Amino acid sequence: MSTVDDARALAPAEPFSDGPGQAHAARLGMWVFLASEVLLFAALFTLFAASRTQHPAAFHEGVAHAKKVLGSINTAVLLVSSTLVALAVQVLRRGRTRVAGLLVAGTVVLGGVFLAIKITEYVEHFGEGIQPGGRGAFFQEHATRGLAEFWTLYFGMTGLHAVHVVVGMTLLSIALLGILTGRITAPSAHRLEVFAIYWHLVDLVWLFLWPLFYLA
Amino acid sequence: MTTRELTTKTTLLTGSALLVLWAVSFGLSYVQLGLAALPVALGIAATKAALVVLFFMELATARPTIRFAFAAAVALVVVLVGLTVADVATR
Amino acid sequence: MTTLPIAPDVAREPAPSSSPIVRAPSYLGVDTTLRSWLVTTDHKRIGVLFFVALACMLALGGFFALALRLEHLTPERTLMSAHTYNRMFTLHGVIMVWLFMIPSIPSSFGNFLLPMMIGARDVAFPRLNLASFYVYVAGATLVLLSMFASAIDTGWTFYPPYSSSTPTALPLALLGVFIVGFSTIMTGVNFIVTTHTLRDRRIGWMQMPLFVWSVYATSIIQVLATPVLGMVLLLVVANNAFSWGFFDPARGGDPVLYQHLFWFYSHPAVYIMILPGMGVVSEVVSTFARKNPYSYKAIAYSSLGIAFVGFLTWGHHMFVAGMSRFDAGAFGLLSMLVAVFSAIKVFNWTWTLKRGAIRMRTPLLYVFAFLFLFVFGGMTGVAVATTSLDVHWHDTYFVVAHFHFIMVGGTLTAFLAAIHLWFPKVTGKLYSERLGMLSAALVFAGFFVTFFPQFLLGNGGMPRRYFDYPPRFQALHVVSTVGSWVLGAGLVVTLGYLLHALFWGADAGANPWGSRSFEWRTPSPPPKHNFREPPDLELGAYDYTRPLEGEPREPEAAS
Repeated sequence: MSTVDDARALAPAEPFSDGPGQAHAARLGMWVFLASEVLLFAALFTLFAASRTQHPAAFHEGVAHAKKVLGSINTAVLLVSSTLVALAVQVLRRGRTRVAGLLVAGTVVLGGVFLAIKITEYVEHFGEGIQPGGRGAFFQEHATRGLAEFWTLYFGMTGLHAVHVVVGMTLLSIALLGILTGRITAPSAHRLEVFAIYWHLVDLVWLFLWPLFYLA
Repeated sequence: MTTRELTTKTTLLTGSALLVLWAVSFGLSYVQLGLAALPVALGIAATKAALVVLFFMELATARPTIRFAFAAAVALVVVLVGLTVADVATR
Repeated sequence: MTTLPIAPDVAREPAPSSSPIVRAPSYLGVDTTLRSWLVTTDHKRIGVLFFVALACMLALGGFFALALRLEHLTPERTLMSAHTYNRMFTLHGVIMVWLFMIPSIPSSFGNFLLPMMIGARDVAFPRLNLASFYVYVAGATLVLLSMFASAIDTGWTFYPPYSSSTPTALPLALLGVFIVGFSTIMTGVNFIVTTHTLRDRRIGWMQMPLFVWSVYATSIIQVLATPVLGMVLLLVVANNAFSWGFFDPARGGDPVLYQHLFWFYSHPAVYIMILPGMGVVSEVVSTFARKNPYSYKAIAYSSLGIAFVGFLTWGHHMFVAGMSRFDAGAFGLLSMLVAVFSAIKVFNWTWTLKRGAIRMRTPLLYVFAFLFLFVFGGMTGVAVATTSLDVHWHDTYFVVAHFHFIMVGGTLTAFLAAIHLWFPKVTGKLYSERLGMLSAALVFAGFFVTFFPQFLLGNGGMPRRYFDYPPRFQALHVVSTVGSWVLGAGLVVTLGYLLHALFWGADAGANPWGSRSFEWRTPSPPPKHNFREPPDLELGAYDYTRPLEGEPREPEAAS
């Protein structure tokens, strides 16, 4: 066997030679993966919904004590960040890589802002004596049945969401690197697009966490 | 491949609509709506979510396979939440 | 009219010792270094890697099973403490369900065959495929490590409140299962995208081999159900390791909610376990009856039907758990629906076999076993899905027998059928038909003697997961244990002749069965990128009305 054949035989089988086939496969792959992420959070939303049905007064009490202003600012932060990254994908498709890079960077920064506000919230809660598992001094005075469950769900669900924010920021940073080094350009814009879609999911989940934990 | 690509104008309009809805939801949370508070808040959330999914994630112009994948996930969430809450609600 | 002579005995045609495998550039011979195997992105090699790992897990889980059955030879302690017994049946379940059954056919045969069956060079994301193998290994390692720590003793279902307080190595084991779950999601995503985007232009959805449909439907379940399991296992870890108190009534939680979330995954999981096996059955039936399926569409759509309806039935595991009567009624009703799709398949297969040109070979013998045992198991499933009956049978050996009939009598049997059907494809060699048939008989007989008495035990009141039992149950337990030895022997013999055939088997040729399925339109073993030139797809995957290109015809005397 010739060495050329050997080399070809050893190369990974790239099923797509870029172009629309690759873009569609990447997009479909990310959407299918997002379906699984939706179900991941759905398990927790189910637990929340059932618990709230069992302890409506306690959950009301919990929401009343949540840091509504901070939580609401965070919602706006994510909404703006989603807008930025959606714009980034569109301008990248038109070849304006520099603007796209700036927009993606802006999204990542806003993600960092979100996390900073979230951490502030957690620290304030710990200071008040609210910890997961019904631990902390707060629960000595506030012993409504179901309140501990509310706050444990709060930490669990917003914590899991925060982990996903970190993942999203990482993915977008990788995309940013790709844009800066020229690996992601107009014809390969789908590479940014799939990471942007992931970021939108992170935003989507928060859109439902916000009313459940802060508003009603 | 998207069949028709969305414009930056659509994106900016969607972003503005989202912020308007956000403000409405925030404002309404200070109004005593009683039992309607949660459905209203969730309803606005669902509207915002629809905007994000359709226009930011471009589901509005995506291929049927992708739309179906998303719909299947949503349907299952409804089944999971529905039958579980039905259990605790009817005991 | 039959065509090719098939599967000659090893004795008739001894293979040359330096076989074509090494000389020709098949996927095996292209690079034989260890490194090339460890970093391969070739779906066929990844399938083989998975197969080896899975076989080891089956052996380990089987070892625990044999030990458990030994313990039950006498009513009280036979050879282990109750503590050890609890851990052993838990590990048996965890290993068999997550480390063997769930990945079994999809990760090994699905990986190996799916691209070939649709005329593709590889899956859509080859590197993700390799990652899925290593993620599986990482998860499995954690589970096995937990064995050497204090193992786990909650049963494979990890119910709270006990799972929140058990002092065993639960967090380690559950993290392992959680990680293995990721592997199955990755595989599921890969297979779905591959099926949608990489089919040869000439192969439409209704032209693919039915095995692809079954793996595709399985992948949908894997992607949608596994995350819920992942989440609920994390909650159990948080409870056990950090005392977070989910599902703890003292802290406002509800243990039944755990069961809802657990079974939302674990019921569809059983369809993950059986659907690929059904795909194998479709292939074996058509190949060895040399006939197209009675209704291709019925089998294809019923696979999707099972996937969909399977998500609506989980509460039938919770009839006596404290669920509301409304939910119990709803789930009881919905559970009846899913049997319809399985029945559609069974009728299809039987009708396909009728008046086919049957050639009795080992894969078909396993499929006959499958049909009998799966119907038995399936019908007892409908029985336990009946709420009023389940009140008596829940948590007894009746349920244990039911699910072993499906999982061992169904899935394991189909797995063995798959091994024998595709052994020539993967290795280019033939195994001994005589030994194959003998082992199949041992496996079937051993299985039946092991598990049929368990229906009687359960119906008589023997609870599951109990270390000791009243002496009146001993006779049936002894029969069951003897059966387990026969089953074990059958599997050991199988391993023996397969290993022998691997090194010294006769050359199979490209298509020893004369099958029309597309993976046979390329040499055995296949080249690295599956097809050296675009395959001849003029004949459909189930078209036995005309001979294949180059197929010799030997008309048989009228029967």
